[in-house]
Amino acid sequence: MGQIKLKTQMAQASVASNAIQKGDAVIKTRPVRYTTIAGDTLVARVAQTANVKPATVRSGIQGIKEAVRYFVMNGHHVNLGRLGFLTLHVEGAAVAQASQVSANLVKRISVGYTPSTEVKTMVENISFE
Amino acid sequence: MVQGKIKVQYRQQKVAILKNADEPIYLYVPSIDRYSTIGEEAIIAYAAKAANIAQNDMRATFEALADAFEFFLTNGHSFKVDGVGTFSLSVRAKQAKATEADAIMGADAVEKVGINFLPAREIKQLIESASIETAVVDKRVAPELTDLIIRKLVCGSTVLISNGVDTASSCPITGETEAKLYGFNLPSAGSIQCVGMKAFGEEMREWYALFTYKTDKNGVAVGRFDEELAYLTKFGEIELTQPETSGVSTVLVDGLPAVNGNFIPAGTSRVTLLGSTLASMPVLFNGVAVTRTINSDTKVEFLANFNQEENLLQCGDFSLTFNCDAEINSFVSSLSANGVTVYRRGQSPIIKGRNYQFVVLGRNIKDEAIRCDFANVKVLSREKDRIVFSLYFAPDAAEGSAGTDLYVGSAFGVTLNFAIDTPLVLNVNDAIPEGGEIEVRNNSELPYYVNFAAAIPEAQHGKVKVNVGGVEVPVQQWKTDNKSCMFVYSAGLNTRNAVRVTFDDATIFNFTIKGDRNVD
Repeated sequence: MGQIKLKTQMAQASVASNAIQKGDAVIKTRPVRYTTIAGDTLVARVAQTANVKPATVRSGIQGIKEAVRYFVMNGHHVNLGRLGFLTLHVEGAAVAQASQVSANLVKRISVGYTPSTEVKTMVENISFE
Repeated sequence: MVQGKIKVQYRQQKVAILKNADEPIYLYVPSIDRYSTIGEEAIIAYAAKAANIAQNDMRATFEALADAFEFFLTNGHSFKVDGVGTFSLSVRAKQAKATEADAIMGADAVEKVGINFLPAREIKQLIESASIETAVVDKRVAPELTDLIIRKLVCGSTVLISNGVDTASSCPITGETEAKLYGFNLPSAGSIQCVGMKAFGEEMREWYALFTYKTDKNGVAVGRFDEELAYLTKFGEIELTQPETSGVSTVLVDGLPAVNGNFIPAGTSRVTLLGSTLASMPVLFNGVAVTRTINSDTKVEFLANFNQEENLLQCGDFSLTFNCDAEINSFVSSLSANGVTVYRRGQSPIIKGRNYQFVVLGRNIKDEAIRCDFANVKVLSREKDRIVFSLYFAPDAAEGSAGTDLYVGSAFGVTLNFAIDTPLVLNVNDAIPEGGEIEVRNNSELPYYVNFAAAIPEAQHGKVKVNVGGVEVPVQQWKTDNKSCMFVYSAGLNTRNAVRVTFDDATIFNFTIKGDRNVD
């Protein structure tokens, strides 16, 4: 399990909280963020771990993408194993009468992510320095 | 192509109870019409098919992705899966006024850690472009669709509802009700046969058939070419009881005839049993105990020799799946449908007198099933799902009637063919220092052609002597450029020999050696 480095820096408060007004100078603690792992870096890593060819990994990721799109867009809850779950969420106005229901009431549809038990455990065990 | 129609249900829900209000308030609140949870295995199966790669490779990729996900996120990196989205670690920490002397900082300030997910742009665009269909559901009631998957079906499988395999042992149904059969890309209504069918059709997410279920000897048969998953889902007024977790069930594996001829169990096939009490239960196939290849509480694999008669399988509470092996029969001359792929390295056209190397990925490809009428075939290595073989095209070989076709058959005698258009040619260019020599190793028992290059006048070609392993070999051919010649090196498997080229029985040349294959 890796360690997350934290950095403490001066910033302006973006939200008010106890005894802190919006815009006050505050000390914030943030994790140090490194690069985003994607593309060839990810492919190489996965290929090495899975002992398969990089081309297979690329195809596999493409396949996962197709599967996620297909299932999510067809209203299914998608279980990505240890990664977690993806599902559609909807935001819209509630109405009192069934006759008032229409597609126009839907304000926003988004893809939501729910971590798996393994990911939650992983997050709980992260240490900071 | 992903269809873009999202179903939104408006359910009547009790949203609040106001003070002094006599009755709770009910409003119609939107929610996504959620069908079922697609499990990891279904995702892997679909993705493997979409990517046209072996399911095992897909599973390995999937697991390795999860490993990478954990590794990189816990080391401060964001993690982006192309086309899906970006995962990143989120940390909520206490903030303190800059003037506070005893402000809590660092790890002690961390209050909560979580994972953020930002969907990929493609998915966002897909959602934005999707049409929305609304439906009203009165009151907050149990979902109409129970989403109770009775069984995953493989192609051409038959569900004998009445024999207790899928109902009596896992979710008994009593009385008459409606059931719904749906799957991914089920091709035509004609391939579904069931008793009391009322309607069938196609909608956004599924092919479906509505039928009335009765507890008689009739069943539901699904005919499919492909390894699509089909689910039998029931809804409506159905009495449910807990599935049995013990006891012995009997399956008529192919008790009903094949549907539309799509699925004909024949030959040896791998059978997988999934269940809860398998370890303690005997598994019998046609009355004979089977040898398990994988044995755990929940999974048993074994080989079974299927015939066209009734095959009885008996064990504990389980579901039954076949892998695709038996279905290779359905894919004669098709490389893409059953996942067998062939690839070749190099770009050179076929040249007689050279060796070519091929890699075939597939299941149950026997050595003897690879044949070529006009060339010698030598299997170099084979693994579970991969076989490497070489072909030597002799200069005087007569091509078969199929031209340059090479045949690869599966374990079931199916002939797959593909054209050799980009064979492998390994060119090795090793400059040898003056007075030096080069060692070559022949990894096969096939002849090995070596090109020797040096600037030698035509009149003196006869003075060049080639010596391999202490034995002089004749120069077979001088090229038109007068700078290179070709000789044949032939030795047993893994033989290493030094090649020495001399001129006028005295001088060792600087020379370049080009081998058609396997030069170390």
